[in-house]
Amino acid sequence: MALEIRGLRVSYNIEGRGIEVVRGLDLDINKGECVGLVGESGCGKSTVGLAITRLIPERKGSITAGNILLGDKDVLTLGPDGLRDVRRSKVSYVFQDPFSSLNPVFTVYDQLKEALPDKRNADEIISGTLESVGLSGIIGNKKIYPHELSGGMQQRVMIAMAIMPNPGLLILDEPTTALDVTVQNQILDLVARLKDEMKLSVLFISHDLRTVFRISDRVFVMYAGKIVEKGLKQNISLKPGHPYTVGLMDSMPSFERRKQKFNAIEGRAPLFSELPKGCKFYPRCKFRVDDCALREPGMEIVSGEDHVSRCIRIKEIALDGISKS
Amino acid sequence: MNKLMVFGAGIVIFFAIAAILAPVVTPYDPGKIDIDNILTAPSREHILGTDSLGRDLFSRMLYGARVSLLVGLIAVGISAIIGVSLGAIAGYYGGFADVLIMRFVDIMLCFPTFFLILAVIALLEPSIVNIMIIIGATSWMGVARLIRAEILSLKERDFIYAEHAIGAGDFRIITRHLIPNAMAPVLVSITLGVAAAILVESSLSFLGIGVQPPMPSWGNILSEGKSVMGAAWWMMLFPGTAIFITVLGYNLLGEGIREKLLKS
Amino acid sequence: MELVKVNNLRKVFPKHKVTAVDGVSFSVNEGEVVGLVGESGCGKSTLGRSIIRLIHAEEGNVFYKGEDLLKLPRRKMRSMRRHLQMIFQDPYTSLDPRVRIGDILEEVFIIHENFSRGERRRKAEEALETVGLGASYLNRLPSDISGGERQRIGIARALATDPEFIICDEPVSSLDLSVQAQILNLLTDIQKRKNLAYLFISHDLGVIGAICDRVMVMNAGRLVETGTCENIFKDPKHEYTKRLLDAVR
Repeated sequence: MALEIRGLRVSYNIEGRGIEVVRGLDLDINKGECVGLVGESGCGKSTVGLAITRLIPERKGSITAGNILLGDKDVLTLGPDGLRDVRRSKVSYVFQDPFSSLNPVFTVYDQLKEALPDKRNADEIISGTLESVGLSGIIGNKKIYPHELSGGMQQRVMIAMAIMPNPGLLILDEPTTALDVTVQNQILDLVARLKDEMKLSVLFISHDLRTVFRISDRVFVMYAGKIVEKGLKQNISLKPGHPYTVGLMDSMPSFERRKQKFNAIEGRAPLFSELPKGCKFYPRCKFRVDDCALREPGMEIVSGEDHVSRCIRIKEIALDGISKS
Repeated sequence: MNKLMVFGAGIVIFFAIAAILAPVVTPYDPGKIDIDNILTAPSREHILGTDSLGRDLFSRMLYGARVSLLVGLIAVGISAIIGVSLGAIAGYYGGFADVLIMRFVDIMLCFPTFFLILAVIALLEPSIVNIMIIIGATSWMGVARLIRAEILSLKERDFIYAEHAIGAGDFRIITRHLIPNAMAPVLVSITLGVAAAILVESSLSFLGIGVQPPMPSWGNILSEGKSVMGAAWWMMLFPGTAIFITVLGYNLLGEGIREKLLKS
Repeated sequence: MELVKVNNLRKVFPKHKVTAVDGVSFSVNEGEVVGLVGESGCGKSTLGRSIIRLIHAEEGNVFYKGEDLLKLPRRKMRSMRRHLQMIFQDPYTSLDPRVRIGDILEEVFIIHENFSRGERRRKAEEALETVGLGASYLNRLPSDISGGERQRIGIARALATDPEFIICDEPVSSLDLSVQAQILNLLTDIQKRKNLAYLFISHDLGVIGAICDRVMVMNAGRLVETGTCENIFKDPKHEYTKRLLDAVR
């Protein structure tokens, strides 16, 4: 197992109160696997990504419970040296906006070199990495600055920087959201290829179901700070097991379902400070019954051990039929 | 909230209240001459002592606060009106208007302001109104530059395009949407400007070409005190301290506002 | 019937020596939803803004019911704006952060109508209802409400003048999927009910395919392919169109 998160809880200080935004989250990534974590803005998915190497700023919030096992170590018990080692060479990040992640006053080459833990043979490693992310064109030129590259190329530089230390785990937080659709696919294909070549484990965080389905082996759907459904990509995309996932899939615009009204999810995501009792999706759910409001459901099996959903009604409702109705 | 800012605001409010309440709290008429009590040291009757004509210094200080603060605020008001209007026009319309206004700003900035004021006052009569106008008319350039810079970036924002799209006129866009959104840094500049204006007024009055006696201002009390410095320490200490503390108050308040704005 | 006709429109940004819109011609009929798709930097937003004179175009004509908008005097153009409206991409920057929702909507009536205060308030409430929000929003500031709600306000503002033609400039691309679906439903409902014409600008062919009658594909300042949605999606001719389509499949 490349990463195992158990019972993770994170609280943010909002107006003097501690408000829990990750409420007991379990997530695991196998070696060489790409896991997609999908959810809408404010569901806590980016916080999960940051928590993995304890990057949540102390004044903003803190991890209050759980384990984050990276190999045989629990990141939450590491001292400063261990943590630095994890951040430097075990886990790498790629964020949404490549331009603000790059320093505009240094050349791309200098920044790549900076990211290298061991500076011996820097030239060789950098040119090799640039070639593998499809930037062989700029290898010869050490004087290129970030603003001279397109958004897609900048994101490739960020990926190059992330894979250079040869990390076990690569965390991508909305890496394609700022890019054009055509460029998005190139980046996704690049990540998929690197994953295979380098046996990388990847956590792909996004609100965009299309990109998540395109790249992930397994998908975790997050709502209001908890996983509400997890399973193999093909299982979820064919037979979503949670009304929220169904709603998201029905919200995807496409030519095939043209001129039909979207079967949109009503209302808006609840604020963490005023979460409903019981199932957190209950107030917006089309299939709700009174029982849903009583207590938060546990994980129920949808189709086999590895496809589970936090919904008490999956047995009664053939959810797969609903999206087509 | 920033402690220093609260302290500054406290000073500013304290002096403002003192100035407003001057007629209520002063025990004596500030102009009442009392030959029997010339240059008496602070005592129970005259808590800050008396001046060389036997006038109560405490009363004169409070009425002087009225003059100094009024001159400071109105001068800055004039400077803000000129600066905001010219800056907004330059920033919004650009092109020729911008070149014209900004070169005018450059020219104004070339003059050593204090000497310009001295020269103008020498030609005109040194009245309180003239002083307010002249300080205002020579201190608006910073505000104009700030407003222009803010508006240059604001006018490319979508909510301004949206105003154009619904058919709003230039005047409405500038006054209702651009200026209110550009005011934050100007507010800082205005607050600091009050301190500067109070200093200029005091300096002019000290030199005898500002507020004219018998009307009291901190500057001319200080000036009077200079001639009796050896005999009456209170004549320089109190107005000097008042100027110092007031200017400090406005500066702390201005810095505090700046810090708050930077954070948000 | 032809509502808006754009003829050989051209916009150059002299500072960067870029021809953002390079001789574009097309027309939009009454009650028609026309999609304009292309990658960022292709000039689609500039084109949209040039049509209603938010950006000054050097050459070309934009006819609205036969009248050339680009040649109208400023004052006449201002009153003409009520017929042609725009919905912006970013709900966070398209509302004045210091103005309350009620005042944002009432402003439209101050500019175009001679209503009393009470009438304006009532009209503002009506505008809120059209987009599925209630009178409780009148006294709130843009920062108090969510992105989806802000976009509804943007739509309410555009609808307030009762326009016939609306340029939707990426109105859903900064929204979450579930909110995006709500807003697209709303835009489609209103379009049908009021028989509006939309120029719907987006980089996302999925969105375009779902709601448009006709599609125009833009690349490097030019329209490289136009056609009905069916034709473009089932039988794309231009290489660039094919590339865009591959990306969403």
